[in-house]
Amino acid sequence: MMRKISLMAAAVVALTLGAGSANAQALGVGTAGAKKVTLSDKVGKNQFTWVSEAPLENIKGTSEGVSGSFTIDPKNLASLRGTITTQVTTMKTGNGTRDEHLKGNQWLDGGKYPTISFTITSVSNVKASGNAATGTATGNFTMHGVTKTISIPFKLQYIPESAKTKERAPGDLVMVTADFTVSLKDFNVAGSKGIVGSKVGETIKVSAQLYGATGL
Amino acid sequence: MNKKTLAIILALLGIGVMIYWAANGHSLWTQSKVPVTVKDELFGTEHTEWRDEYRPGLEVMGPIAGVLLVGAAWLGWSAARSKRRPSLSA
Repeated sequence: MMRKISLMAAAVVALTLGAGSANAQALGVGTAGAKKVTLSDKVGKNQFTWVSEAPLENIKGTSEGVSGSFTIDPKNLASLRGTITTQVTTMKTGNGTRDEHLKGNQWLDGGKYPTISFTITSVSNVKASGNAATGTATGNFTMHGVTKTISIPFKLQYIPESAKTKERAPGDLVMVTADFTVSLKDFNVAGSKGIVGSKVGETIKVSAQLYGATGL
Repeated sequence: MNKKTLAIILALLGIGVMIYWAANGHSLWTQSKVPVTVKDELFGTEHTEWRDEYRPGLEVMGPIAGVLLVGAAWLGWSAARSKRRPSLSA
């Protein structure tokens, strides 16, 4: 009798643990199956904000003109895939002359390389709770004509369609935020002689805010 | 107004210019727009928008403060020099 109870208890524990690990990949929302999320400013302001920290000056900038899409299965977040692109020409720092330099051929060379993109090839470390999740997206980051594989930790929020969400866009709404750094040297961005390291940071801190909807 | 008073006024103006620059972003280059944070009520997130606002950088405020402080120093030196030198009419 005791042996039977022990076996049943072990089975319950095993099932619970198994369900727990499966649920780590799943959002607690009613929908399932892969859905295409298209980024749109109707949902929220799609934007990359970035900060260059250097001994002589800190520069804050934004990059808009963000577009792209990704597929997401709320019950299997590790299957998330997609490509996000931003236009170099939309970069702003609050100083028109500096903006022109930034897009010029000594820096990002927007004429030759007009976009910066990130293509997600795998997602790991997913931890979901309710309608939110965190994870790490690994993929190909392309800037200034150079492509590098990088991993970016992200936070995701999934809001099923409701009367309130319909005011912004049709379908379920998804928001993704991510913070990462980009080394200018890795992408062959040399800048004007002597500027990087004194007036412009060698590494740029980037924050991404992406908003999309499944009904667009 | 004597030279000493004028020197003090110029020095205070020069220091004031630098304090104004330091309090307004202390950037090397003049900003014609400044970033402001806007909150998204639905998602509880914040994004950046640009507001038209002139914030002079060091390339503008530095020379102004420099001229004022050099002027103050010259006037101060001049005032001290004329005080030390006895008047011929005395």
